[in-house]
Amino acid sequence: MAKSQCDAFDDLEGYCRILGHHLRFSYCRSCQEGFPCFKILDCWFEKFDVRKFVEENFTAAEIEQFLRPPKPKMQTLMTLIQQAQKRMKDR
Amino acid sequence: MSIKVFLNEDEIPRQWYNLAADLPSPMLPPLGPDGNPVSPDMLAPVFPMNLIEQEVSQERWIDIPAGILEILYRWRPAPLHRARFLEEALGTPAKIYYKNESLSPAGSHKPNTAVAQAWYNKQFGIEKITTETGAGQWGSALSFACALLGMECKVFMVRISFDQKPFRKLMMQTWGGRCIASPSSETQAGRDILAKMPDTPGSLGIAISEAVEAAVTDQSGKTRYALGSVLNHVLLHQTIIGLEAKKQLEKIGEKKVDVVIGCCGGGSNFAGLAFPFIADKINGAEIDIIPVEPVSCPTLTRAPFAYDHGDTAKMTPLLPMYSLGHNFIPPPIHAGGLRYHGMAPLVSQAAVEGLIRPIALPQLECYEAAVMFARTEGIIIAPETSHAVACVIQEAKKAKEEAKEKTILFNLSGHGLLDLNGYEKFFEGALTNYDLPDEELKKSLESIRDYPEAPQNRTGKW
Repeated sequence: MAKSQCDAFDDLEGYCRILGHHLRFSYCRSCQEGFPCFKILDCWFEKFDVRKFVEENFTAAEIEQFLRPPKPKMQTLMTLIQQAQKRMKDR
Repeated sequence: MSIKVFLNEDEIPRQWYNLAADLPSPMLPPLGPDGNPVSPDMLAPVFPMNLIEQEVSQERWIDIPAGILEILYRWRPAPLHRARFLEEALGTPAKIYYKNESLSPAGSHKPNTAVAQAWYNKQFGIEKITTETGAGQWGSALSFACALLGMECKVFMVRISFDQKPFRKLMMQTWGGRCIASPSSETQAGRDILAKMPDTPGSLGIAISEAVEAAVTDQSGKTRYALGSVLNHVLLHQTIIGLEAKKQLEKIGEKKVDVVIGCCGGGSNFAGLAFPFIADKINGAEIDIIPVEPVSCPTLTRAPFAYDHGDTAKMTPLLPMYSLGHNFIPPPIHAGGLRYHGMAPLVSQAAVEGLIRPIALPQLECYEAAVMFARTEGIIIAPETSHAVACVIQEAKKAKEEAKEKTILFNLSGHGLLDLNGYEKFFEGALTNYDLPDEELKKSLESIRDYPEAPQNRTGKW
């Protein structure tokens, strides 16, 4: 992603429903290991054309990947337990 | 005329109420990553067996152990307030009551389950509890609970929140919780992320991974993980709110409640007040029970209950959920909230049954309601709570139009003294409303048109 394009809105502030406090856009566009949060369109559409921003800065495959919503809580927990047990085994 | 209704300590409810026992239709089972039902033993690495038993229990009443009550007495029974000053300002014939959960030491309803979870863990021989937190409301509630029980508490707080929200971090520290910025070097999950991105501000997903790993990999077996919302046992512990309210209303001769209202995010504070009243409704009472969610992130109000993939790539199994379709990528609107079935399963099933009537309200109306509440009743409420208050005001105005003396009850789930930034944005005029157009809704539903219907498990009685 070209730096000049991606940091244009970085200083805008908005409320994060996941963390429960206000944040700058710079966090929302990079918090998933460099990719945007899955709620980026939800949270920012009122302030600027965030859809255009996303389409200009990420490929269609990347967009599909990072817009996937999280799994139900019980599924997430089971996945994390399995991952942690595997890490312990690998050690 | 009195403003507050108290219960003596010896009048506190001695049992929690489990809605799962009375739901007229069974809940669909939770599914694991492979699409098969999750069995209790699969949860044993993260939860003690006594809490897992509660998670799957079908018993209607579950005794609250004396050891938990002794801790709850520090702020419970919580008073029931009559909102006389709000009533006067609205000129309504309605009587408005609220349970004041902002009086807990951590400032919200969260300690009701934090204390219970910590106690059950201790009984099971657990010495340390791990969890994750964003702004810190849950992390501080659990730190508080662990302090009172002499247990260790390790909270993985998302790095950016750790840096930007110092006050709840300080609350955790004051209560003896060990608050660690996530990602951290304490877990493999954290180290892997830091190796790739040393300056990462973290995310809730990483913090959960760290908290679960810290519990699962502790070779001593003395560490478990705790969650503050969504799961059945969490909702169970919160029912003390509604059970107290029923006793208090009875004490002042209020025989009938017409409307019960709670804000609904993950579902725990709504469930805490509402479930005991849903039991009355199942047994024939006429009560309008309303969970309120934001228009910008509705799960219960506009999406149908259907089988769908949880992801756009269709990699996860088909699950019953409130869904707008897996292909739903919003134009300039809301994706995750509409597709993600993040609501507590018990609340979802009550909605499927028609026992509750979910509504969604826009944020400006909610902040206007919060300000009116602060200027009449005096309490600066949490942003989430403002959804309940906005709904109360609507119902009170309706009662005025209809000249009906309704009795309205709502849950004041927490104060907003550590969340004043939202109020600042409201006063600056920086907040706006948005509603999902019907055309968009119809278009997005096309993608699940040919999928199997989710079993509604509905009696059709309500």
